[in-house]
Amino acid sequence: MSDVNVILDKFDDFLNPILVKELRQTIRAKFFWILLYLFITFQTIFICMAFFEAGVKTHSSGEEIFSFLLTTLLMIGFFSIPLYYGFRFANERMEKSDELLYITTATPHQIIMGKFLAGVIFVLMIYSLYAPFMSLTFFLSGVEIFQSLFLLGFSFLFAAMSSMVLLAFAAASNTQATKNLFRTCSIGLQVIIFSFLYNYLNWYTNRYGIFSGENLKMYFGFILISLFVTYFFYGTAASTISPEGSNRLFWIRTRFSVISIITYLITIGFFHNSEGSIVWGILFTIFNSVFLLIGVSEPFDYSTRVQREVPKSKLKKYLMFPFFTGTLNAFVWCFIMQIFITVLASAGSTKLAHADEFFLFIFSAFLSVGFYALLASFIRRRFFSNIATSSTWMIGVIVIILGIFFQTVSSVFLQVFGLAIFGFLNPFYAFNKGMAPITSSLVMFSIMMFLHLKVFSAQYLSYMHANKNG
Amino acid sequence: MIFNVKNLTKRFGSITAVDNLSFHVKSGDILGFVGPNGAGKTTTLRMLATLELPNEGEVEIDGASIISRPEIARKCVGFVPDSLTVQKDITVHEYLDFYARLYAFKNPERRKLVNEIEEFTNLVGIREKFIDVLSKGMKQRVSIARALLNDPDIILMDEPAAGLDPRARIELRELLKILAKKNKMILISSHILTELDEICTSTMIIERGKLLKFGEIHDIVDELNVKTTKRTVVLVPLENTESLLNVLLVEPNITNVNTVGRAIEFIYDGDEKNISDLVARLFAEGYKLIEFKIKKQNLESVFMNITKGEVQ
Repeated sequence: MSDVNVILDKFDDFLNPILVKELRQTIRAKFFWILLYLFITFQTIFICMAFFEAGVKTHSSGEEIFSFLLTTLLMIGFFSIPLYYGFRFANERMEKSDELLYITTATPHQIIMGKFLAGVIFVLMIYSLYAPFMSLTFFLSGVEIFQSLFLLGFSFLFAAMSSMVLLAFAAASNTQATKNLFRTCSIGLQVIIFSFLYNYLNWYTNRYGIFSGENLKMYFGFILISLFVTYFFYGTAASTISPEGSNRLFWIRTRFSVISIITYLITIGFFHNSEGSIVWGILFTIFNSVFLLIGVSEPFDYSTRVQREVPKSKLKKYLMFPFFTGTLNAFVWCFIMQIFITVLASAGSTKLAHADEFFLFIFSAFLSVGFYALLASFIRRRFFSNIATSSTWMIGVIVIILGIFFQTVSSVFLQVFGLAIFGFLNPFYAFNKGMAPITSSLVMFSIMMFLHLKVFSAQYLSYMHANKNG
Repeated sequence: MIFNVKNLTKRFGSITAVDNLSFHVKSGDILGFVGPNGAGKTTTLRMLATLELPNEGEVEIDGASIISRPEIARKCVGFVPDSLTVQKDITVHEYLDFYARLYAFKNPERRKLVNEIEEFTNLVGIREKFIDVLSKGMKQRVSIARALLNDPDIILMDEPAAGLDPRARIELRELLKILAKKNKMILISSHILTELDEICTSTMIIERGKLLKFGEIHDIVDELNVKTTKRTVVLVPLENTESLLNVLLVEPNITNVNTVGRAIEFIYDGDEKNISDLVARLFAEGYKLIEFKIKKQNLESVFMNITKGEVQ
């Protein structure tokens, strides 16, 4: 065998198997060729028209064309390709056609990385096709080549992030119902992120131009956010497809704890104002509240696989407790995280009047969701024992919606009888100082904790006794 | 190598799909896994393949638990599901190469391995064909080839003969025999009992998730023969079939009288002496018989005797 073949073989071995398979399938798929031809045709027609127009209208038309092309490119990179890969993976998950992968020696992280890279390479192919057309806009008094490449790279990061977010949603789609639900959620989330990003970028570039000191700060912030989101969803997707009974949440909790500290430091370092800290506090409280719903969907006992991973020493057992998969573990972790978020955000917003009061309300919203999560768990165990523990979050969402609905209806009574107490059923009212007394959410949460005392203490004892003999 | 299953239980909500199942298999054995629809066969095989986690019980390979350490199973278990899942835009060779990559085989060994497996499973002629256009039998062969890539000591097969034509079934049977000779341990679930009867060294019958019988087929048959007094008898008269049929219909210990071509088949409730007395009486009454036999119990009759056809 020649040296070239040996090198090629080595390179081939180095490639992620999922990536190789996905790309092989992609280049044979109709979607790929249709998208490619449509793109090239669209660009050629558009650029030809632009050059024709430029003969009439001579100044700075390149910038407008560039902006239009970039928006189109971002839409395809951000929507079409991630949706294609996301939907494909969701179908595989629902039909269980991917399950044979999990009984090979490939790891969940390897599987997700392969799928992600396939999407990213597809996006890259489209981008590389677009680049020559976009650089032509330079000749139409457009954007500098370096600037256009920078903006291409910048938008590419967001397209990659979108691919990962959709893969994570797809990973959780193991039934027809969850597939439809997560498809809707992921499209909704994409629209929200895209609109926000597009408007924000437009506002900044209109105000400061493409490159300025202010913009660099903004670009840096966005790049960091996209990298964090991509990394976090990568781990989340891998944890979701991990084998049943494994310590799935360990990766997510440890990384989320680290990411929260890093993002806090960046927020404080960059914005130097109390508002940044408050936005950080609200965002992470929302994430942490979602974790409560995930927490009650975790088991109340430990599988033999999880028990094997419990540390033997007592000190390590205590330290690692919040990071293990299990309902009580999840609640302990969320509680610690919420105290941590509240303290840090309060410390960063000392210059703001009534900041301390504001963060008490954030904590109140968290407790309110905690109440609903535990209520959902109680309802599932007491009345719907046929429903899998992993589906408790669905009951949680339904109970929250019912709570908000009941609160809305009761607002009529509120007007008539002045029953302000009904306000506490809506967790969002916790942000409203006048409507949700902190004590009410604390009382509701405590009642639910009391109802769970028996199962929680059994879970605690089970954890402490796990892996005693190795 | 010993595959030891102890008190395996799997519940889906209030339904117990597999209930306290225990058995063991050793290298070179072909264990036929038999049960009516919904008996828990697929769930059991999926648990053994580490695709499902049991609620209770243990599965050990040479004493090591694959419940707590599924990575052990990944190396030495090959699983053939009841049908090959949808694989679009990928050829047979690429599919096998993909799984060989997943098992971390490096070139040039990977190339060699895939070629060998293709030859062994007779896939060379269709290696460049797309999987989604293959027939059910061919897909099944691809599925078996995939399961053999990591040279597993234990092969789990879920209904591999379902939907196959007679030729494909014979080929599958031959392939299984070759694998057993290679000292592989094979657990095979099937509805085609005659197939299992010919190739299996032992069998396990389950219903509603519970183990009804486990052991070597001839031991189970012998045990059943001792317990039951009902035997299937076949008589082929030279002439007067109608008249003989009428005689048999009024006999007290005879039920289920049927004609199959020239032969008359019925179930006789009594011991061998009673049957010989009956035949002697028929001769005395002038009936000329050219064939008389008591049908041997096989897996099919064992299955029908033991199970009640209940589903959950």
